[in-house]
Amino acid sequence: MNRPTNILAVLAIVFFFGVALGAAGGESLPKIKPAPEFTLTKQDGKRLDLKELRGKVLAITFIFASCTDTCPLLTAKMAGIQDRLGPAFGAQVFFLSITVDPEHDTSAVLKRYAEAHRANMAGWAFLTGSPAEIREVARRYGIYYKKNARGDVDHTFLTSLVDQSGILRVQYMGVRFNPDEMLRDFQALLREEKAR
Amino acid sequence: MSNQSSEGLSRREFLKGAALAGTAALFGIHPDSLAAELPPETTKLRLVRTTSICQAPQYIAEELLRGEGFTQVQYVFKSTPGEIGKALASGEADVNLHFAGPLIIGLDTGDPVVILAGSHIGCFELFGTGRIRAIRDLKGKSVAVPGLGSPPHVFLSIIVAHVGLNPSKDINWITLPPVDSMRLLAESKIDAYLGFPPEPQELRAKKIGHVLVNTTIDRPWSQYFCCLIAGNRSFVEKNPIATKRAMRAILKAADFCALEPDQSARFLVEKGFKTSRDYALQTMKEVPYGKWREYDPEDTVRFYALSLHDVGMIKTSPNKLIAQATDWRFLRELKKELKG
Repeated sequence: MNRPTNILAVLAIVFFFGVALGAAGGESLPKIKPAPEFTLTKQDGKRLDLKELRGKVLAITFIFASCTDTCPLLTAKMAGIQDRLGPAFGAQVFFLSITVDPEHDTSAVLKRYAEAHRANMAGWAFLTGSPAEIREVARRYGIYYKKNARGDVDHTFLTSLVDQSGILRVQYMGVRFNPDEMLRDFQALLREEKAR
Repeated sequence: MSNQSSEGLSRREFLKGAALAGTAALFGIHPDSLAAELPPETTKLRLVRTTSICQAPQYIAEELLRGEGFTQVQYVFKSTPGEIGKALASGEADVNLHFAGPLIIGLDTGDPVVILAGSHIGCFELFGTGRIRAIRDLKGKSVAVPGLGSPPHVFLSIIVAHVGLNPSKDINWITLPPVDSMRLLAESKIDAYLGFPPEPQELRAKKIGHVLVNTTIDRPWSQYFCCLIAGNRSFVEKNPIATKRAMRAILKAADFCALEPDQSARFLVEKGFKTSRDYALQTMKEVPYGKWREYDPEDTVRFYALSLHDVGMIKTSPNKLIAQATDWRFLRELKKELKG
């Protein structure tokens, strides 16, 4: 074989191994974009900068405390996942639930909401802010919300998983997603960190 | 047997990482450059707005599009869905939902349009008067459509051909605006009418005619997308990131229609669509908007291209159309990024 053929052969082998092993080993989650930064107020009244959580896998959801239909289902589902994460919850995985009703959902209201849904606040923060702050965060995470005539908030249900480096990796629409799949995604992201 | 050690990398992961890193290095790609999606190449996006709420996801996506970096989201008003294809081909619209049949006819005649994904299945329904008990009964009968070549005409031609009728010889096509067609159907002055949302909801509520085909539940129509997401070819080529971001917003909105039909219906009525909230809500509940991950849009293109080829409405082979006018790379990525 001449030299260019050798180089092509090496390239082909390297490419084949990459593709074949990628398929065999299960694909890693995509890297969508850096998770939009924000600083909001927690249920204890303290400010939280998203950067403070770098090094942990995050799940970011949008809810509002007086929601009586879908939000409680989402929060309950996340509480179930919280339990299944065991010791990794808080230490390696952190949940953030951001209100889309900042006029009503003060820190105190969110604290009561968190307690009612047995959220372990060692690994779960409920965040509020000024209407302008919330509007900007929602926009940047691709959330539509609007207060309707009944005083409820119409909004998209979207849970975003962010990796330890602050990269948005996957988004779950609605509340009917498979919790086992989300748990597997958390585990995959934790394994990635270990592998680095 | 697992080959994952308790600490560190498994042999397989090591080889995979090394091979991928090697491939990336050989092609001069730094790992960081694979990480993040860049802002859209353009902040302006143009879509079409018609009276049909079949394309609800792209209207509901308006706010989500802003979140994707489009500061100018413009809806070009057209009186009928039949004009969507022309708007996409001319570049008047950048990305839009459009019915599979008319889209494929446009591609056959060289429209510079690329099919990017499926949006939802079903949606249109064929209504007949009491004289019509089955599709075959339409032979020699009067069927109203907004125009020859319009989406209802194209779909209905395929439907009648499917049971052995010749659409150009066996049907007496009458061209009328939808509102007149529905009135004449109520008066039994025409024999059948193919309606798109919210028309079927209105016809059923008013007990006008009876349903001969409901493409949301009747096979084979229920096995394929009714609406596909398509883009102007030049826009997609010049703006791949913007295209993907626009698709993400529209597909998220499709999920929203399925998950929150009440909110979606309210949104459409507030946006000024001339339909009652009840009809809009029924549409959101009946049309399977949340199925874009499950069905293969390539199957849809193949099915409709074959059917249109059989009735002589296109000349290009399905495989050629798929090769030349589809681009599934954004859909593949979005399926991984956006779980439901």
